[in-house]
Amino acid sequence: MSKKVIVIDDSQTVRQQVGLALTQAGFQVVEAVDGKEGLTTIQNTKDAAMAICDVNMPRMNGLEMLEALAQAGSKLPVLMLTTEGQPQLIERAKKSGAKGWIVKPFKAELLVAAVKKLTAA
Amino acid sequence: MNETLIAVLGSTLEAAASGLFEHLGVNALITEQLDPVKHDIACSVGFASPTLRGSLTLTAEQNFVSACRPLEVRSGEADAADISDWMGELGNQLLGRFKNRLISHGVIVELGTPAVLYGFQIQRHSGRLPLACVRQVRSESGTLMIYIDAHATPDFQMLEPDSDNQAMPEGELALF
Repeated sequence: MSKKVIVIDDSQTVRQQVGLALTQAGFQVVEAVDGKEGLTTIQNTKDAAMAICDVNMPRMNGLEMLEALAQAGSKLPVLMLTTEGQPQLIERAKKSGAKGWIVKPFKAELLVAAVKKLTAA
Repeated sequence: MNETLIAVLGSTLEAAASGLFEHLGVNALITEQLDPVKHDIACSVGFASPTLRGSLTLTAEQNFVSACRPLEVRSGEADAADISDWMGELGNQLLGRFKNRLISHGVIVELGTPAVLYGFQIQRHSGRLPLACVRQVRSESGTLMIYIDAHATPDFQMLEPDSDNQAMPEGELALF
């Protein structure tokens, strides 16, 4: 059975891009449009293997979502995929339990390799 | 804002735009020569720090935006929602690159989220204060205008680039 990845980004084009890369690599994809919806989707998708999350989004950003997940005791691996490359933000994500960071734009092979590594357990 | 600062912001913007369009596979010329345009879509994203604040505004022809969508999703016909979504993401990615390049100068800004507008012959009005930088991007699919509107407090400083204080480069992965 294919592993399920939750993709959280306010851009439909980015969700489509990530979704295509992952489905072609054999993963199943569930989408959410911002941190708030991402949080609910993660909590309701018990069989998810991991999540990929943007940082700058309306309503709730990706770092706030990570912090809410950490507070709720979630162990779901989260990979941040964002235009941000600021070291302080990367450190904040790391402290909140993120498992990786990719600065957009991304190469599909690199993203798929990271997802395979983070879902290997 | 002094001329040196405007020049650094301008060259930073050009480097950011050139890298982005190269990645998108768009053969683009980025110039300070501004030909008249008839643009029908616009995007604006704000940025702020305690000493520098402003916005990035893009205006373009929808054809330009459609033609620079990522290759993986470019095969189908793009509708208004696709074009609007990608215009917002272009603003987001361009401002992200701009921000990341400012970090080595000791400037850290926070970014807003993009707003996209449709219209007819959209023009950016500079208001009473001059815009910090304006560039025109030309490709075979049309043109895009980039406007940076930035206002600095008197104590704003832009340091010489520091190689030990860099943003994580675009396209790179770090696993923790």
